[in-house]
Amino acid sequence: MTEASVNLNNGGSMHEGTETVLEPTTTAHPLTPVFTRVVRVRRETKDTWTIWIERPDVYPGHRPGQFNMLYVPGVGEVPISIASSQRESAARIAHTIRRVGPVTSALVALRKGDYVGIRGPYGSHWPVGSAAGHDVVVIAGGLGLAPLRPAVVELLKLRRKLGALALLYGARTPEDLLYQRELAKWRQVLDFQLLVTVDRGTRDWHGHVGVVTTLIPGISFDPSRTIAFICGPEIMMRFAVRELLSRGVPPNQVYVSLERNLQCAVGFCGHCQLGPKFICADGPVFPYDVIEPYFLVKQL
Amino acid sequence: MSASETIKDVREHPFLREFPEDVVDRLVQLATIREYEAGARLCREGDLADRFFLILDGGVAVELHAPHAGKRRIQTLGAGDAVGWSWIVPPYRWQFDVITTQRSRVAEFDAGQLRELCDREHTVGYLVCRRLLEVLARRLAGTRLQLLDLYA
Repeated sequence: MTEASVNLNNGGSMHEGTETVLEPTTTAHPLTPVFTRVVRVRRETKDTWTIWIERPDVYPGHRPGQFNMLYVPGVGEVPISIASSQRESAARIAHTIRRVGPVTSALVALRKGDYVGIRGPYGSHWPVGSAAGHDVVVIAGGLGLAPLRPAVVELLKLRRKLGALALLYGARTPEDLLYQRELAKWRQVLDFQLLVTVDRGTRDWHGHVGVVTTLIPGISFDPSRTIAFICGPEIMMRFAVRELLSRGVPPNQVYVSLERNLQCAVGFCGHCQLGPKFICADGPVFPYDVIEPYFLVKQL
Repeated sequence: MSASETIKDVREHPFLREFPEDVVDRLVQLATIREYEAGARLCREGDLADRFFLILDGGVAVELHAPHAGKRRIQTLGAGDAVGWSWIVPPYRWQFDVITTQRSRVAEFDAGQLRELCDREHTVGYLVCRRLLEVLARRLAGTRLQLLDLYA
């Protein structure tokens, strides 16, 4: 996994039905970042931090599932999923970052008051608005919860307009679970099915152990009227999609977020090309029926 | 819960789904419904695998005890899951411990009676073994994904 693909667990242009619209960038030149200040840093796990930054004046706003390019002068730039909803705060933007290379190491070393470059937001978003009247199943694996978090926040605000609502979250170990305080809070929400599993239990872990797809039979939903958002390692997503389709969820109602080697984020350089699609501009959030022909093609 | 509701729960368990009615009838006749408090041990590693379980409500954990590391939870199973295949694979000894994680209601089958039925009526045996193979395939796929350490 390259650093350019890490942490972008989803982002994107907009897919509301078949519509695809690119969001504007923050500056006059699409590849020029603007600088803003870090306002808060919180360690999530041993290798993952959430960093809140001030919203720049020129920042046009984002939607759940989109990503920003974050830039550390002298080190480099990487795509990072946006982990906060504008409904929580319009003044600051959260990014959850795993330390995997030089740029992400520099990002997680930032402290309150430090400056960071940002351009974005880019890419498609989770069609939260289309979820009204549907059962909603959200499936997250590992860091894939980060780009889904703002979707969950907005879905909870829409709760009365939805049918069943479920979040299934899988992580490597209990220590690798993101947003633990928030998970505890979400557990208290009535009418919200939250199931968490880990691949490897520890002595103190009393929850589920097993892959995240094993949680699907444990939730109530009507497949024919379900919309699903899935984000995580691509293999996990393949199995999750298979499980949902086998239960009768329509392929055009299943949304996945893909990651590839993103460099320019504006559909120019071609590094993130997947068949005829650019993950940065056409995705990263795709309806499964759109991306299915390329989903299982090796080497793509 | 009435006896008829309980029998209906067993008949509708996913393990028996789409089996012919007469096969379901034969299997349900062998089932005993039991309730366990959280922490009850259904299987102990090394013991005779003399039962087969279908979870109706609640959940169990499959565990293994490692020296100096204590018990390790390997997998959790819940309502709708089947527990155990050691009862049909010689030498009929449990490979793992199975503990209830919450108050649970299970349909228990006597392994000897079930093996005898499968041996005597091959249609039943074939259906039961095919369904067990589905369970095994699903668990194997899950285990392979866990081995990949996808989230690392």
